Amino acid sequence: MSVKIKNRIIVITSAVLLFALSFLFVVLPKSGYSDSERRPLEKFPEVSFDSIVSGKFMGKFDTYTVENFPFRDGFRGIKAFASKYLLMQLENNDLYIDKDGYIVKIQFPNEGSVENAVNKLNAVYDKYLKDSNSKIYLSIVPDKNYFADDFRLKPDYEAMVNTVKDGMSYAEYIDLFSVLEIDDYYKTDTHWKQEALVPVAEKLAAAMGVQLSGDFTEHTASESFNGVYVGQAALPVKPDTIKYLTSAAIDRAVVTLYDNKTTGEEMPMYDETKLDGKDGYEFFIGGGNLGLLKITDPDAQTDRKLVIFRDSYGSAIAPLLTGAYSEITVIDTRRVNPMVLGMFVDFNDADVLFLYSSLVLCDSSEIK
Amino acid sequence: MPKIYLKNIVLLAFSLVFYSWGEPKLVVLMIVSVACGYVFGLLMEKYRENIKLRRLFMIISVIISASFLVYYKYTNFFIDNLNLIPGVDIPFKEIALPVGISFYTFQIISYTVDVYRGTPAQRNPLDLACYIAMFPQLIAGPIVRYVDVAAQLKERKHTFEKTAYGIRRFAVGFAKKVLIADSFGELVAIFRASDDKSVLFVWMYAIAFMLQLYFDFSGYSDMAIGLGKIFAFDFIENFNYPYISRSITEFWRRWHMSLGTWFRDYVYIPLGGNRVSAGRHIFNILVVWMFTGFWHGAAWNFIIWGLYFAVLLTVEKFFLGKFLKKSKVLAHVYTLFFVLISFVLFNAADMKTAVSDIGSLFGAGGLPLVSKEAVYYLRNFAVLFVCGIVGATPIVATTARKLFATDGANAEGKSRTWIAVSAVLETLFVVAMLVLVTAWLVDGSFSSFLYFRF
Repeated sequence: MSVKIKNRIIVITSAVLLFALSFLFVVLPKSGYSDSERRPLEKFPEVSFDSIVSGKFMGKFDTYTVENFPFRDGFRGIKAFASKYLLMQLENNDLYIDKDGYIVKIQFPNEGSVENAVNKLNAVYDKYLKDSNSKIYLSIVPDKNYFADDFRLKPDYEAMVNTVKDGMSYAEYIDLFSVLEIDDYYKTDTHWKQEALVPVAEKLAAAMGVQLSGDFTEHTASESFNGVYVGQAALPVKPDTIKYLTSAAIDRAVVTLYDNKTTGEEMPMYDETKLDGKDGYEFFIGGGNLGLLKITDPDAQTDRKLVIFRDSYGSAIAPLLTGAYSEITVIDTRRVNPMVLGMFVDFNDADVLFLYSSLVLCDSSEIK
Repeated sequence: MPKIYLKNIVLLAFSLVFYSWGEPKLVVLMIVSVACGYVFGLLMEKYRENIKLRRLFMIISVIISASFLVYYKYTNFFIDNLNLIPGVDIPFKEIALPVGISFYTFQIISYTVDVYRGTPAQRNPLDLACYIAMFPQLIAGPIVRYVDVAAQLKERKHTFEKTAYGIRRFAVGFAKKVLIADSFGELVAIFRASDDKSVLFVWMYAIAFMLQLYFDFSGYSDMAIGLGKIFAFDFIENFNYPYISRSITEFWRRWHMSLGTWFRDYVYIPLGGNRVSAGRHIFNILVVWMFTGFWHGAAWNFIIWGLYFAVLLTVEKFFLGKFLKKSKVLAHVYTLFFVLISFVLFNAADMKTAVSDIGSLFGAGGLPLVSKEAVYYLRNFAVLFVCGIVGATPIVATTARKLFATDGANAEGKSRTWIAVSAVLETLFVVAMLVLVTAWLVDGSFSSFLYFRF
């Protein structure tokens, strides 16, 4: 083979690559949403004289190209693979996969984020709790990186907890760091596994002076749960299994959703239709999506009421407290404006638990 | 219309679209600059016999081009320094630096001075605009001198050989920029934001920045030269493995060569170069390097950076040069050390940071020797450091040429089978680089070129 032929091969291959990708970029349909990263993608920008002269059009068009590129997920996989196995980097896009296959996010607190969370929760306290006779508890759920090997970078969890404890001195702190281990979490998702949470629920119940109701039975809901980190990590990983716990109390309890409604609407505690959706964790009372719901059990051991201010981690644990309380109100102030809570919730005589994960404390901008 | 005109018009049109993509308004400024250069070029041509008029037109043209650069790049620097005088308080102006102005202004000046010196003026304004605005090298060089491309604007030939070379060169440059330079850029940013600094971390930062700058800038030049080849232009080389130099003098013959040549041809030699008294010679060196530093940025640390090299070059010229020839190892260590210090100065936001960064290299400020983050990132970037350091030497290119090149003398001793295999491997290599770069870009981990700032 002569040099001439070699040169031709290079030119023709590159030209085919260039034109094929450009052609595919133009003709392939754009869904506007990335399932793997669970986020909307840039749409084709508006063309106008102003947007072009100001350069806005170009900036957005660049993002549009990058986000709608043909075989985008494949290319992202190649990048993740090359960073891990060619460049031997310890992380890719702030994620790493540890030796046991847990995908872990490295999240440090954004500037002022922990303080912001405290301020927002204090505003809730000032409005509803200060003058009520409720008993207030506080707990923080560590994320998986807390359990990482020592050489890994992690935030100062102790300082984070202390900031929250000091800022919310009216609440009794219940430590969960000591009862959790990394295998209490999904490998592919940020969340903890419900079937591992009985000791956590027991610890919370003991601190709040109630008893968990009866024995739990474990069931398998799905063996093909691809958590939130699967798409972000862009590497091939084995899916997780979603298991869930039932008890007599859980079976008889009624869950009512109040989002955007005053009358409420009954919804399942465990929703199997969510298992095949975008986020399988929504199986547990809506995961991180719902603002305000109540779990009522008329046959509970007590007539006490519990209000949980929480993020998505609360969805797996709240059901386990059913039966210990006759009514559990589960509130996510990222999804519901705390100013309207007075219409739905009576805080008098209630136990109130603030339960937040370290990840949300690190990025608290969504808390209202 | 002859084919070559058409080619130049298409190239110019795409160049203007390319430039407008980043500078939709200030593309007008570039067109005005080119128009001035064109008109004064013709005037010099018309009054070629009248030396006084010719010189006058040259001076006016240079002043106009330079004043655009001075206005857009240096106004706030001057205001900042004038405000140091008690009682003076001039408000800052809101001026954004047009992309690539430092580069295209130098090309227009190059054209003007070349015409003044005898090169025939370009009669076709589109051809002149095509030279100044040619998109591959428009925003970060190489600074192509007019005399070097004048003939190619009239005639150039496309061949598969040139195009294939261009594609390879472009792919390698793109990979240098996106895979290596941007990764080191990440480390530089991490260092800047870190609360866990240590002496080890500062050294890692300095070396990472040194490698980032080299791979970013030489990667861009490779892409420009490669694209040039695809359009059948031959641009001058801009880098020649600067980090293997054994003196600062040699370093500057290998680093940003087109800028060095420009300053030599259009500043140093007109000042008298080295054919003057020793005192005047040193003065010339200082002037050239002060301007070289100032060209890189409107801040004191860039001026000091330029003068720092002036001092080193003078010392080498008069004293050190002889000693450096005695020990290769020491000469390498010496050169890399002073280049490293220079880039720490170069990358500092201001003189205060520069002094503290350089001090931290030697433990000033009570930094610990090692910190947890430093160790973690050393592990994280270990392979990249090795790739970067090896890639900054000719080892990779020489080995690849020995193994795969099949032209001329390189073909000797290679079997027909190996030549066939090498063709496949080379194509795979080019495709792999393009795919990897695309993967990095699609993943969103890229940033603009460092030299776009200048």
